[in-house]
Amino acid sequence: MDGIEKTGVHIPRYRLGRKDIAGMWGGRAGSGERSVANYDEDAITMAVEAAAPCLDGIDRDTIDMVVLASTTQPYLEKQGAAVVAEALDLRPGIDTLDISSSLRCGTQALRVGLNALAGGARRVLVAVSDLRKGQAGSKAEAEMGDGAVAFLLGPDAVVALRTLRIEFNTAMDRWRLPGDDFVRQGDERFTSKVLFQDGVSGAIRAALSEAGLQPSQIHRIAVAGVDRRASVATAAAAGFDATAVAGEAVYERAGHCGSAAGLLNLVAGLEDARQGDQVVLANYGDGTDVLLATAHAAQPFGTPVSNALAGGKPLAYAQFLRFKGLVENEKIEPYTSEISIWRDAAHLVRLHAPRCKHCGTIQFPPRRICSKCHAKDQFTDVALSKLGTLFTFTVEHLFPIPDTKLVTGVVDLSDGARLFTQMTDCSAEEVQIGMGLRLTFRALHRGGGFHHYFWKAAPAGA
Amino acid sequence: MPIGGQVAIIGVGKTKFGENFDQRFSDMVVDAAFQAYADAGISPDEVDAGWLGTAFAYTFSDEGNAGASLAEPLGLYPKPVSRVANYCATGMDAARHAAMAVAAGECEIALVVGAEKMRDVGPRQSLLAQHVERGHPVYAKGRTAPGMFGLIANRYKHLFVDPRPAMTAVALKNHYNGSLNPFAHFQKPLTEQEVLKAPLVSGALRLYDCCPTTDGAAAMILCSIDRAKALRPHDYVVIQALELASTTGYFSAQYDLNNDFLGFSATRAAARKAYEVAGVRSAAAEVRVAEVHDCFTVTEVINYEDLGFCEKGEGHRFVLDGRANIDGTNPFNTSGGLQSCGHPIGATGARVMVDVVEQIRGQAGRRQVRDPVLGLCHTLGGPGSVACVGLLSEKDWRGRR
Repeated sequence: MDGIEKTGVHIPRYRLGRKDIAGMWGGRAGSGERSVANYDEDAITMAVEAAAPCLDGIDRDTIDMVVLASTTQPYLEKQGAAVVAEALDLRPGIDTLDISSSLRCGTQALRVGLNALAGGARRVLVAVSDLRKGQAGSKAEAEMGDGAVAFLLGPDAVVALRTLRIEFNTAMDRWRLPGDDFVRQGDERFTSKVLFQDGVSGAIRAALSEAGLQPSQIHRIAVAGVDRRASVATAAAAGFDATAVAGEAVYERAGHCGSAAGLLNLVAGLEDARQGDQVVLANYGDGTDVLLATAHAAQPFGTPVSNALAGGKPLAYAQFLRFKGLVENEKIEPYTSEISIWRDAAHLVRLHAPRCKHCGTIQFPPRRICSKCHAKDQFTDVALSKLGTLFTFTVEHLFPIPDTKLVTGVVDLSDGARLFTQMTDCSAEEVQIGMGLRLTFRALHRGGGFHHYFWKAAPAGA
Repeated sequence: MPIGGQVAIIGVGKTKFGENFDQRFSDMVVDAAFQAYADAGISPDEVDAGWLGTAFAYTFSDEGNAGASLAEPLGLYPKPVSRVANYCATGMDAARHAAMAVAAGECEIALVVGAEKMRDVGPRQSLLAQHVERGHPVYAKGRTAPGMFGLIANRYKHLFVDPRPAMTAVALKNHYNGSLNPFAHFQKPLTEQEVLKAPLVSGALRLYDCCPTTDGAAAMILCSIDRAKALRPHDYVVIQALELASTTGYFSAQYDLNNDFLGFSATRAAARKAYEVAGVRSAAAEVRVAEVHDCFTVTEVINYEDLGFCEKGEGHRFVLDGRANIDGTNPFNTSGGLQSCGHPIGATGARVMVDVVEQIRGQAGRRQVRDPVLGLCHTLGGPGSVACVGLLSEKDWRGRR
């Protein structure tokens, strides 16, 4: 049966305490913390990170479509889904699609994916990823987090997904104009009273009624409220107890992750599901999507949200400003060539390399004469391992990055290749020779006015 | 004919190394070359051909892209002048090309000038920008010059011993030697506390583990042994060997599966060949003075090992035991090395040869070592991609052995 086969969640490592934000700008401190993307993360890299576990044990050639849903695409004109597909080493001959603008784009992307399956696609990968900015001291700054969630849709579903109801509106609650870095907010009372407690809960009631369902038959309800209170109040107005509202920890440890917010709550709501349990998702953004998810197995996805929320690292507000580019960092203009980047994309993005047919030595960066046996042009193309160990490293104090120090390392990959690369998502103090590492797709710089991506090394557990 | 034993150095010259804000690239070239002419006792017209060693033209300065940057300021037209670039081995490789031409009989008197103008921009726009803003947009991005050696210091610590005390010993030794050298960029001895409290740069490397950003030029006049006997019969210096070895490329060096991050295979290969050509069986026993590539203090520690003065993993003991001091068994970097002289990249290779020539001739002043009949010169280029090792001797060294 068509539906969700796998899911993956990415919550960035860094967390900014809401009391630290209040301590900076005054105002009432909310509880918990918000997630903050590392300076080398964007909507594309977070989507790749979330999607990677969806491909474990899957024949990549069966994926016929990639949809990237985000309101914070790194490019206004240039597709993100294609970069995600290339980084995930998917076939070039597949459909790629970006869906943007609305915070409801995640559930819309799932609908597009399910329709594609109905139309003959074998598998569809949907990644939903956002990292929005709130004005300094605003409620939005504290309530929003950065995060991504991905779904592999296909015939071997462990969770069935059905859209119960769709409504649109044109109300002004959150928006950005071209050129706006920060989210604009409409009246809070209007948003919570009219748009959520009346609008969203009305949509939930209508959807359940049309489906012949009672709140008591529903295991959990996931609402894309701007915060926990909004989600609980909206669910209550639709007849649900606060205990049935999924995603408390998501708000406490990450915040409202834009278009991924409702979907993260949905996955959280499935973490303790038994076989046959149903979870309702009310996703909001320029209207409401109400979806019904049915678990075909107990804990169909395991606990990916809890896992992703665990182990965050506190971030100081000053560092947050630098990570987000809210204060000017040292400007660098690395040389680049869009032509050489295009030519080498199979190596730089797909992380493929030639392996000598004679002696088996992997050549990375690629070369035409084998570095070991000197055979010429006798190679097979292989995808490099994403796991390795640290051979040696150094902590750089000079290289300009938006963090205080850069760690670079020599990584011996499990397939015998060796990679020199930057390390990320770790502090200098935790790095030691021999530690286990995994490669993660990150943004390097914007030389030439475009994004350059490469694989960095992070601690294997991170 | 091979170079070894067939080519002589009869004249040397060098500018003050430092922040030569008031000098153009061409001013430094003229000053170094005319000192070398005077030292050799020749007139500029007697030069048959010239080689310019400049590593990075149009990167830090506005000159050095071709032999024209040497021919023009010196008015060498229409003689053949070439530019050689080979990372930090540039100056020595320029001398190697000139020596090959002399040995081949293509020219009788050759001029070699190594020159680099690095301080027309700030240090952050100089070698750091080389890595941050130039080169491949993705491969090795994040690497810096000190970073490449920070990787080694950490590996050395992991496998052998913390190199910090040895690195400090190198810094103290070379800055002391620099205090005796009026041509050095830094001419002040350091204290241990100054070295250990200096700001961190990369890994174990602190500020005084790194050479400064420097302008400078050095020049040599090369000719055949026969011409040397006529022009400078008493104290010409003989090139016994001048060998270059190359390994990995600029971006691939840290990806190289053969790299043990404990030293440089290019140095080992060039040294092996140089000893073979000159017939040196024991570097420690026969080489009496050495100018080697101490771009970072840890580099000098591993150079002792790579150049065969001690076993692998024993370089730290070599310097801590005082063997590399001016009054030690094998004085290293009596000039103050790159640590004190600075490292104008193309000039360095020529400068180390000039300093060894001065030692062999007994003209090193307060830095003079006793009876330096055979001296070693070494430069290491890029991320270990190339290395040049030269052996220079007094004129009768072969006969005296």
